[in-house]
Amino acid sequence: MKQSVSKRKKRKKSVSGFFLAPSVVGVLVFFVLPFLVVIYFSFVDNPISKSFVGLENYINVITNSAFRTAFGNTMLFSAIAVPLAVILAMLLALMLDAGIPMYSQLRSSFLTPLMVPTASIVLIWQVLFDNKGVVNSWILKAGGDPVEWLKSSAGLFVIILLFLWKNLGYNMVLFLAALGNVPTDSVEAAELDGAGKIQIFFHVKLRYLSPMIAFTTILSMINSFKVFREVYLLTGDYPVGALYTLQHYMNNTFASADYQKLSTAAIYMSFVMIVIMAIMFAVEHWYGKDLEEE
Amino acid sequence: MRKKEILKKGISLALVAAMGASLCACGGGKSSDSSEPKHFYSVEYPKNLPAAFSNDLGNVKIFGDNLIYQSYNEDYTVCSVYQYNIVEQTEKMLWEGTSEQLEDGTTIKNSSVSYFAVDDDNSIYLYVYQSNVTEECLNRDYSATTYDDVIERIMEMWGETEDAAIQEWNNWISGEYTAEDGTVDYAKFMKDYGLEWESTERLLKVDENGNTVYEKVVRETNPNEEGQWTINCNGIYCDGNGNLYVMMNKWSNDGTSDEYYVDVYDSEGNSLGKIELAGYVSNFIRMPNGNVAIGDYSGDHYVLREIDVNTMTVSEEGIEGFDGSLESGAAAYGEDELLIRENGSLSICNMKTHEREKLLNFMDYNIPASSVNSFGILSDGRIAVFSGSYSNTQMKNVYDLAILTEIDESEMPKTERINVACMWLDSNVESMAIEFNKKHEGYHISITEYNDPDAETYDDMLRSFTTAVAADKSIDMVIFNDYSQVVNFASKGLMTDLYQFLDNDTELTRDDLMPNVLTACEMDGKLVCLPTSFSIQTVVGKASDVGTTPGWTFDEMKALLDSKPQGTQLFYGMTRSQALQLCLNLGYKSYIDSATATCHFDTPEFVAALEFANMFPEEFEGQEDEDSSVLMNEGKVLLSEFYLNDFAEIQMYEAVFNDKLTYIGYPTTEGNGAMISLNNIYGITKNCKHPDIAWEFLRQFYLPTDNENDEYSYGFSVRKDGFEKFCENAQKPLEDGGWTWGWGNFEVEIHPATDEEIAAIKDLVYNATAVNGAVTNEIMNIINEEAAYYFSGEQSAEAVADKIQSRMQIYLSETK
Repeated sequence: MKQSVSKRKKRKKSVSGFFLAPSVVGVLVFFVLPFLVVIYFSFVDNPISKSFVGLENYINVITNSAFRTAFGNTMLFSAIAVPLAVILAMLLALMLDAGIPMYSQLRSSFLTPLMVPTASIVLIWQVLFDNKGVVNSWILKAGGDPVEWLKSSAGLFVIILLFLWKNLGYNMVLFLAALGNVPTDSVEAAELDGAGKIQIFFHVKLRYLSPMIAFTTILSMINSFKVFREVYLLTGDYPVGALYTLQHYMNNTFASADYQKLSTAAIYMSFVMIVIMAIMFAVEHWYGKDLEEE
Repeated sequence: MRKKEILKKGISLALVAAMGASLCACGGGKSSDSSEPKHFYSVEYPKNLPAAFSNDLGNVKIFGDNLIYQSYNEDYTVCSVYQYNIVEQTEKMLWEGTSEQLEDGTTIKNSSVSYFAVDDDNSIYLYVYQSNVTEECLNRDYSATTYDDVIERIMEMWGETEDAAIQEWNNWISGEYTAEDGTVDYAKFMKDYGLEWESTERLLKVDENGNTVYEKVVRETNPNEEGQWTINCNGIYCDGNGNLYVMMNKWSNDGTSDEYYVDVYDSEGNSLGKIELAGYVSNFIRMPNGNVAIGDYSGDHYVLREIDVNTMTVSEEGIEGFDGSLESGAAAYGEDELLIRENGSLSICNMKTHEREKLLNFMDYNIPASSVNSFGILSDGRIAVFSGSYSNTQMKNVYDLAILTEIDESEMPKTERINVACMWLDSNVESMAIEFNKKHEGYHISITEYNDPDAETYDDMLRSFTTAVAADKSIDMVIFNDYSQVVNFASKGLMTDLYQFLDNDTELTRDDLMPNVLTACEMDGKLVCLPTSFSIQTVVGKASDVGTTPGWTFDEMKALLDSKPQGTQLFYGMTRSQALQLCLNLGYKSYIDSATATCHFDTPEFVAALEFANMFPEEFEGQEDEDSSVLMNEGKVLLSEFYLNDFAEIQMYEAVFNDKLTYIGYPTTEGNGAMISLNNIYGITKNCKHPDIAWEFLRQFYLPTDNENDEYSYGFSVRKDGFEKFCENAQKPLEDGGWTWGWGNFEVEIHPATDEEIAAIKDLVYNATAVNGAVTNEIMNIINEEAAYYFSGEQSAEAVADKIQSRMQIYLSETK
């Protein structure tokens, strides 16, 4: 009897493994293996001779001023854009969840930017923020001095605005879904206990929203690290220092066949993201612990 | 429950199968095989080739076992068509036509074969063109020909206006008809260009025994017929049933109509009909089934379409996906297969499945791919390849017939390969490589093109080349198109220092080569590349305007312009971006330090360069009748860019400027303002397995030559004595006492170079230090983008220079 049970278990496991195999192989081939290749290239001197050089590439990249500029700009952008993307999306979701008029029209309009191709958005942004663009003409009319939006550090504001415009809608939808899952009996119980709206939000709703906050933060962080198309189309391969991001560095090193630098930069970026996500998961776990216990 | 489980598993399996199937590659489109060939051959060159192979040959084609070729006698009065049987190594003449000349050398009768084809019975078809001067012209008296008659004749021949015809006469023609005492033989010109011809085009079929089967007049023309049409034959071909296809083009002389069609004849010469074509057809191909197909460019790619002789139509559907146009032909290989040539290789193409199998790379067997003219399969299964090209070393056309016999891989001689990468293969380099291979047993130089046919711009092509070469660790040498590519590769430490070979060479030393060229090829004290030739570019101006000492600054140039009347231009046709690029090339090393990856654009020098570029228009709009030579002569244009090729050109410029000239150069803070352009730049990669052998090949370009003529195809020899010889030759007396060169309204008698001219040129060439081409398009894009704000007046030059400094610093930091 025991033998037939363990045989059946083994058979079940092999059948499961067989069905899982294509996915596992796909993940290995299209994700894990390329990542291993990237790690390999980060330890060789150049794509031709491929001699092992230890940590030399890592030292070269971390001391390279272009990489440091790109890294710093990307971190600054993420530090500003990601919290804004999360908080503003949450506020929008709360506003829509409160039952305002034209709820579905507003929801659709916030989602529209997701569908518009980046290249066409960029054209409009250039018209708005060019030196002689619409925004500068308003500033001039108001008696101010025109700003070099795309050729100075003010460009960061433009990129953040573009990022938020593109991503708020998606985050908002996620928060709407999460708000829909907040148990109404907990909210009602808090109301009965005399809690105000702000107290209910911070002590009840926010707790239930914490997994979604973590998820949208991670998603927004990944998207912020990948912001390249917009900046590239607005400002080209080599923008002014303030707009030069990690993706520029990696794109340009690929174009000049510096695969070792490209791979090393990618490893650094992955490492930073892993650390940030680990911190995020830890915070989320601690904050939402009592919900899990429930 | 059990049934539910079985159903679930069944659905899951189906999904897995669907996912798996979706991973399979879909068919359709080109499936060319770019892998290494799996067939191996031995090569032999028949020793007893016909004597005509040592002279100039005309049309040459391989049909089956026969090589059909056209040759001429020494004075080109006899044209013959021969058949050489490659297997039996026997030759016979198939046809002969003669030309006639008068005592003064004027040709009055011509006979030649334009095209030939062979059928399966080894009968040959010839398209013969015969022409002769009309009786009336022969008897005409030309002695009363005047200058006006000549100009009228030129206008008539080339459809030019009177002024253009006068210019044509003055610039290009009059010299040949002008005696030393200045008298002009207008009669001779009229005899050479004014004769009227009548012609006959015939189709001739000769069987394998040399008997004429039929002779058929296809067309006759005479000058009295003021016809509105011109009709030309573009080729003939045979199918497997002995039908002959003649490709014709008929167009109206007023340009309103252009027809293409094929006349079809049976084996007896009877017309079977006419097939209308949609447009120009580049060639005929015989398909494995014996039918004939036409090849044309449908859109932007080559398509083969079969002719149906029963319905006299061309198939709507075609076969695509070929690399190239199959213009050197194809040969039936099997039931459904064609042997085709695609770039540097021979492949078998299955006409049904479109699959390819590469048989051989020409270079692997020392056959110059760029010169392959015709190929075919012999009856014993061997492959014959005929090639012909001009040899610079032998100063004549050289022909080879290679016979390839398939062997086992184990029988192939063991050789060490030296792989050379280039963007486009130069035929001269290919010849040198083949010559080297033949002299060095055990080693084989193999040159491979790395170019991306889908690249839309030159920059994309450069990028693809860089990526492909960097990824292929088997590459031992690189031929660079661009100096900027050298800078890119060398800055990554990918190139070997050539000084280690040069300094240990027993026949070559640093002193043998031009010192400034060596300096241009150095990076951090290492010689990272060497060009096979170089050229010089500078600026010339009147000595009375610019002084007699080469080299000047932006301020001096501006001061010169300010001293002239308003409307005076510095250069004719120069735009802002061109001027800016020149300044960057000249001052490259002062603006960019590749070693430390730093740049210095926020400097007064660069601001001055911006201000200099701003003196020129964004786009140049010349007037229709404007002649730059007249403007220079009148002092309305002060300077001219000068590309040094020979001494005659500087004499021409002196005539135009009407003054002694100075090689003043482009404005710069150091040097003489001249730039060196490096041509065909070679480097040996760090990964090269046999650097000594690679150097052995490379040094061939720098050894002394016995070539007395010393006419370089482009640029000067890198050898010092080569350049000195060029200067020496320029001082030798000219043939026929000299010649006249015309430019617009100016004419100058070219004389041997004087000592003063030689000294000035040597000073220019030896002191040129700036290298052209160091500035990449990426650098120019950044600079042009920012400079536009200064040129439009939105920002100051200093502000723009600061922005450029910021962006360029990022660009350079990436390279460190």
